[in-house]
Amino acid sequence: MKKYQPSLDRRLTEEDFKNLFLKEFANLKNYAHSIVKENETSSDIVQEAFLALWENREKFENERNPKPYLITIIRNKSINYLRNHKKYHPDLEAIEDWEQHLTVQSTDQYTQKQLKAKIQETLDHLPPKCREIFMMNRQKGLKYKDIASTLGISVKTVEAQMAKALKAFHDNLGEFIMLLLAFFMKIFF
Amino acid sequence: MDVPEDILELITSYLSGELNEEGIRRLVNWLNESADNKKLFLEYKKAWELQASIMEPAIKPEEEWENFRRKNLSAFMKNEVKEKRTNSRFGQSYWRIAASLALIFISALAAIYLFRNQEVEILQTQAIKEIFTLPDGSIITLAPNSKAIYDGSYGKKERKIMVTGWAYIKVEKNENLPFRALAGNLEILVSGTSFYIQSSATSQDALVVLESGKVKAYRKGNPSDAIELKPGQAASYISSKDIFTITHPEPNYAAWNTLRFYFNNTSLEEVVTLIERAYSIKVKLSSPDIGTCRLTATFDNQSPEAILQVIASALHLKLEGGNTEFVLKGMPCQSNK
Repeated sequence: MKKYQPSLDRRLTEEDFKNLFLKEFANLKNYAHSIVKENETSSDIVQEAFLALWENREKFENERNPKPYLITIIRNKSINYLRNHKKYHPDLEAIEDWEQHLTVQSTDQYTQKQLKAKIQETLDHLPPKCREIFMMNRQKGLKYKDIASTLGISVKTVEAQMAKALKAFHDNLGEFIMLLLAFFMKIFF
Repeated sequence: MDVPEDILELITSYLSGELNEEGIRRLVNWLNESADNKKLFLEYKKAWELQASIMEPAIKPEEEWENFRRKNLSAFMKNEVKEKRTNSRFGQSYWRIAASLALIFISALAAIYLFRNQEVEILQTQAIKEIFTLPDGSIITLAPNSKAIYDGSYGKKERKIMVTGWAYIKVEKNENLPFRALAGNLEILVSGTSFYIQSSATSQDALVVLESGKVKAYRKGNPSDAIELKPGQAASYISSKDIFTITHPEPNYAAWNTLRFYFNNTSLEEVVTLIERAYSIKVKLSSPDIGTCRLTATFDNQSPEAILQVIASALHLKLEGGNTEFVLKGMPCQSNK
């Protein structure tokens, strides 16, 4: 994990705070997103965590790294959100290993380029309806029920088409998946 | 090894945050059946994350910071005042206020009608899009060569803004202060939501595309014939026929703001127009015939040059020029795929 090295031999000033926010937001949001799986919710949770940090900033005088504090708050808030929506299951938590999303998973540019091309190709080969539904969900962030009502189809159909799209990505991205999973295993096992 | 269809649907719904309690229970039961199932699940999850890394809108810390500060104004009050004056990041033309109404063409008449006797604020863009925060914290992103006008009463009894050109508006939720946007002959009424709105500078044609929340759209001054839009839907007013209707938005309506383009068998002519508008550049075709070539591709946040290079090589054309003026040269496409 990349460590945040604050030069805080003094108080956490507004400027430090802003810099910390800009630097860590994306990573922390990925983390929250890996738990709650909702775009806006994950942004809200990270923002709430930063607000908590700001309100408790006097605790972070003298070099105490605020990042673990943010991570803890985000984790708690995210799990609470799942619980409140009856979506939490400890087995899923154990299988998914959310913490891995705190590290940036970088691949080299070449792989990245190939991956992009492969994803584009997969997208191009999806049946038009399937692609439309997938794009509405992934790019416009529409919920299944909104897609269903916009297109005048059932939620069940949206589910089936989304699954079809995921299957296509899974089947076409095999080599990348294996590469990443192997990498992941090496670190954690 | 294949995953049964119903399980695949559970996995997909789970990964997109749509799975309910019952579904999660079924998914967990299946996962606990075998180690292989867990492995398959992780593979699908990885596939999902890989596509998401390319497909999902990139996280924009600066915008999030703006949102954060706006939401927590009391904690940052002191800072707010200071930064408004010294903000140089978005700042060069942050609040561009035209001195005189005489400078405004079509919208002047409407503005006078709308905002009688009030001093008005005019937000105006030239070659690049800009983001403005309105007095109530709502955020408006103006496309190049667009304009928004509001007056001193904004945020007191209601919130009223007039738009010419393209704008993306994120309305701060406030049930007590209805938000009205006017574009051409179209008027829309919302409480808190985000939408794209467009009106022509020369006619009363206008379009609204709802992104999230709810809006009511109607012919200016006729709230009784309002249409309520759902996310993803659009309403447009066509002045030549005096028609007001619900439509599906064009795939690239937001491209000027997101710099994402989806071309699906789209004519080069249309492609070029969209790119010109989004980046404020000029792209010439060496002959009009090339314009009928068709292109299928998506682009996300790339430089205009990079996009044009890809187009040129896909259609066997030659790209010349640079900066803000480009030329595509070559032979017309033989068959339209």
